Amino acid sequence: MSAAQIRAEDISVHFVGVKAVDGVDLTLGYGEILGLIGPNGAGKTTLVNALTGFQEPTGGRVFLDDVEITGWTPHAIGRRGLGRTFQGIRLFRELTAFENVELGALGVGASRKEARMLATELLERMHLRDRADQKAGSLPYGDERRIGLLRVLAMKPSFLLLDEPAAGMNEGESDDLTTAIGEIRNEFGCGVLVIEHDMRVIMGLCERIQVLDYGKTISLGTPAEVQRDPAVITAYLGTKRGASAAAAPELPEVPDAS
Amino acid sequence: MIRGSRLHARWLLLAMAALALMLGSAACGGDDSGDDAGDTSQSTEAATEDPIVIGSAVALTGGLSAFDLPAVAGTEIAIEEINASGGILGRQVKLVKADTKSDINQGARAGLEVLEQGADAMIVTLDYNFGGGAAREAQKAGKVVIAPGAGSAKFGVQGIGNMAYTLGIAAQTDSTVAAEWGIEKKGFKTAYLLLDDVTDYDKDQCSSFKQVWTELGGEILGEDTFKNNDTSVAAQVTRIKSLGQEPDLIMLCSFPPGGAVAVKQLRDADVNSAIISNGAMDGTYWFEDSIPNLSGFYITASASVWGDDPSDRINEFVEKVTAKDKQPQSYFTVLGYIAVYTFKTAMEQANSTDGAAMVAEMDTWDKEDIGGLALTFTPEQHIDTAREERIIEVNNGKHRVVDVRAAKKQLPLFGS
Amino acid sequence: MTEVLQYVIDGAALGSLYALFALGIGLIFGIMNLINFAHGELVMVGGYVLVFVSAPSTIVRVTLMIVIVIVFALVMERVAFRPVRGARADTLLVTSFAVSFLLQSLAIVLIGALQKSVGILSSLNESFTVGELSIRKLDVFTVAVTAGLLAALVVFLGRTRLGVQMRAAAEDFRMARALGVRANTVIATAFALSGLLAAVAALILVAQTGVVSPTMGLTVVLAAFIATIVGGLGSLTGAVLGGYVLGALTVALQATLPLGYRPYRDAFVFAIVVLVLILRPQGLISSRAVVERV
Ligand SMILES: Nc1ncnc2c1ncn2[C@@H]1O[C@H](COP(=O)(O)OP(=O)(O)OP(=O)(O)O)[C@@H](O)[C@H]1O
Ligand SMILES: [Mg+2]
Repeated sequence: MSAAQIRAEDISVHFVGVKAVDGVDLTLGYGEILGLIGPNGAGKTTLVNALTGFQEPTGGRVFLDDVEITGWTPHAIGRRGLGRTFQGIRLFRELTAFENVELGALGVGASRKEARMLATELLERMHLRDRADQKAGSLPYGDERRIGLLRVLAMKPSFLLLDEPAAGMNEGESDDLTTAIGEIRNEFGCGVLVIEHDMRVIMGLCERIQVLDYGKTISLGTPAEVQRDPAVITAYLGTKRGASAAAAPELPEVPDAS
Repeated sequence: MIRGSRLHARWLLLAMAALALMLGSAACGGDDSGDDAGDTSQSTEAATEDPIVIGSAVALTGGLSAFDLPAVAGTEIAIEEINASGGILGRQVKLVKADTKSDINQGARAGLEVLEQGADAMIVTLDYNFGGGAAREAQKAGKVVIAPGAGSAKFGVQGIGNMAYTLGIAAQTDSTVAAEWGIEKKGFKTAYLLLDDVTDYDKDQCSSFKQVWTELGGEILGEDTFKNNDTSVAAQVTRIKSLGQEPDLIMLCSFPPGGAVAVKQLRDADVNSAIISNGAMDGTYWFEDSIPNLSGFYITASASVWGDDPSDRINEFVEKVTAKDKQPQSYFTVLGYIAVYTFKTAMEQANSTDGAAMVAEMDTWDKEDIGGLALTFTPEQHIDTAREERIIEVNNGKHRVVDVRAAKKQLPLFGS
Repeated sequence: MTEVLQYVIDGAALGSLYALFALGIGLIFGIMNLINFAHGELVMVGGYVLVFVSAPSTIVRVTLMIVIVIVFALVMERVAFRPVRGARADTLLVTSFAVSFLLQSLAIVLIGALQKSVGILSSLNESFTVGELSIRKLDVFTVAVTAGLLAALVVFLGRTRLGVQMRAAAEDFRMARALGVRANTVIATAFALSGLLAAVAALILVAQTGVVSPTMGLTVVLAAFIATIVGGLGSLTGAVLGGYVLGALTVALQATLPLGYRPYRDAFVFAIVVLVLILRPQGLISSRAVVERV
């Protein structure tokens, strides 16, 4: 397990007046699905930003397969096999669906031809072939989500970090997504980190769950362990989510790291 | 989307503000480079008596330096000549300079700077607006001040005060000479006006030309305007070509670079009319590579720097400048030279460096020979309207004086 | 009729030049959210290269000029804009303003404030006649070169790896970086392209006017700025459209305004521009929202 993994040690990200992430350790193994949860503003997105080069951590180190990647540029980390999505889908709306997917492959150094082949294949597999030449901005929401996922998959990542992939989905759609993420893991064998407020997605997918609150890890364990942890219950008191989360409004993105 | 469009609006505002700033500073030829020239004393041997100080508060840097630096070169040669032959009233002459940086707001400061260094007389930027700041300081201090080439009668008693003189020519005089030459000497019948409406000088020139031309029986086939920074006068050219008849003469009231663009695009479009313009279009620099065979182009000028001026004195001076530096590009360098001799003559006639005493002499000058030019001033008029102007033709890229004439008709210089 | 057609040609030639100016500004704005006021100075540099570099053949002289301007654009990016990349809009604006000002002043100090005349492509200054119409070869050249450059740009942006990545980066820089797009490469490419556009614009401008001066960049930037705003900031199609609209408008007003109003031609142009912006605040072609970039 120690060879293929993301290992973050004692990560801190301090903004003026806020310790967004405060000494967090995190490991994600190859083929593993880890849930990262916590109330709004707990520091989940900031932590992922720190792992992927979008936010220089104030302290701590990040290793990918025992190579330190702290301070690398986002594209270098991406090429190294760490793919991520952002809260919100953020497709390139002026580009076609096909070009969106193709970009992922191009970004990790595929030739133009390889990228086209891969994009064609992925779109076919998701039954999105006939959407290929449509501008991404004009796609229906569900397809948009799926293209967003294909785009990062085209990078053939070893690790996939998904920031609230089910936000704004209805129950049926988020169930489909849960299934899709499971299949992706099985097929590509990649490690997946899922940030999600929808507990049904988390509980249905994750082998382990890490809970953040005020920038610190307050619990880490199997879904059953975490659910029973009194610290978690306290943190969520008054903002009880669980099954009702599906109806929760899409949360505005915190302007991160710029 | 809301955040987006608000950002968009903020962007536009910022960008527009910056652009406005930029255009503003460009209009003033803004330029912050270069040090304050400060005291760059030019005097030669140490004089026993205190030297007479001539202050030059001009644009040593920035856009206007293109016109002021040649004038300064002329000034320096005049001072060398004078010092070599015994100075003025037995005293050596010393030049002090201050840089206006081509900034209209720095004029007064530069003027004060040379006055503090003891200037007995002052030379300023050759424009009423840009030279006015320094000139008013000289007026206040009671020192005679000369703008070598300001072409506005306002640079004088009316706009600055009784101490201020210009060696330039009024637009009215220039265009009268041009019109009289066209009709009387060339026998032209039809003319067309092409006005670059950025400066008052050019506006006055075109409107006075129209008046004199029609009074002399000439016909104006049409008129049009453009802007000095236009990159294309194609539409103006199309209008001329659509006249059905090529005008004998095109009066081009403009200056480089816009004037140069107009001449090139007229000739490129095979408009072969004679074109006449003013002294601002002197020089070869603006056409030598772009229209190397330029022909049928004329200017009115106070002097020719092309070796064939009617005054030998001026030809000798031009040779000196060429030997020392390079071929001068305009007669402004002559005017910078004449300015010093103007001071010299006035000081010697008054036997004093006192401003009021000098003015009393200068205001009586009637074709007084100063350094090769005949100057005429009156107590009311500190711009010379009796000047014998040179009509210089550019033929196959070469300048040549083809006529010398003073304006017969005297148009009013103010409020016409 | 002939006269009208003649004006149409005048407008097309002027519009092409403005479109080239605007595209250079629009390209950088799309990628960096930066209105590059120093773009005009790239054109100026191109002009001075033509003044000072003499080569046995026009092709060599022009190629050399294009290369030098592109290198200049890259150096400008590296030295001036990379350090402030991702900074606030006003910081970027002030930086580009400062660069522009510095280059202008430098030109005045090193070369002098006086303009220089340049002869280039003088063989294109002849006209040929079609019916009663007399058409300048240079105008045909201008329109053709602009069209060719636009077509090449469309192919580049649509068909090549860098092109696709650039369009993505123009839309959402952060997301593009997460997908492995190299920020430095994409931005440098954008600057190189804007350098190419500036160089071609310099060639045409100088061939038409025959003059080069330290402040010539101002005219370029003013036209480009208006054209991009009218066309729609952030949209390349908009920039091109804006350029042609501005060119056509200028010629049309020059041709039709009564003499007394002609001095106010530019004021009329601005008034129409403001009217367009009131009706369509995002410009003729509204692009996606201008989002914050890394
Ligand atoms: N660039 C920034 N500057 C200052 N503070 C920031 C910045 N980015 C995030 N923060 C703060 O850091 C804290 C953690 O934010 P973060 O976005 O990581 O939370 P989150 O767990 O992802 O929340 P959510 O569930 O709402 O997405 C918040 O208090 C946020 O306001
Ligand atoms: Mg978040």
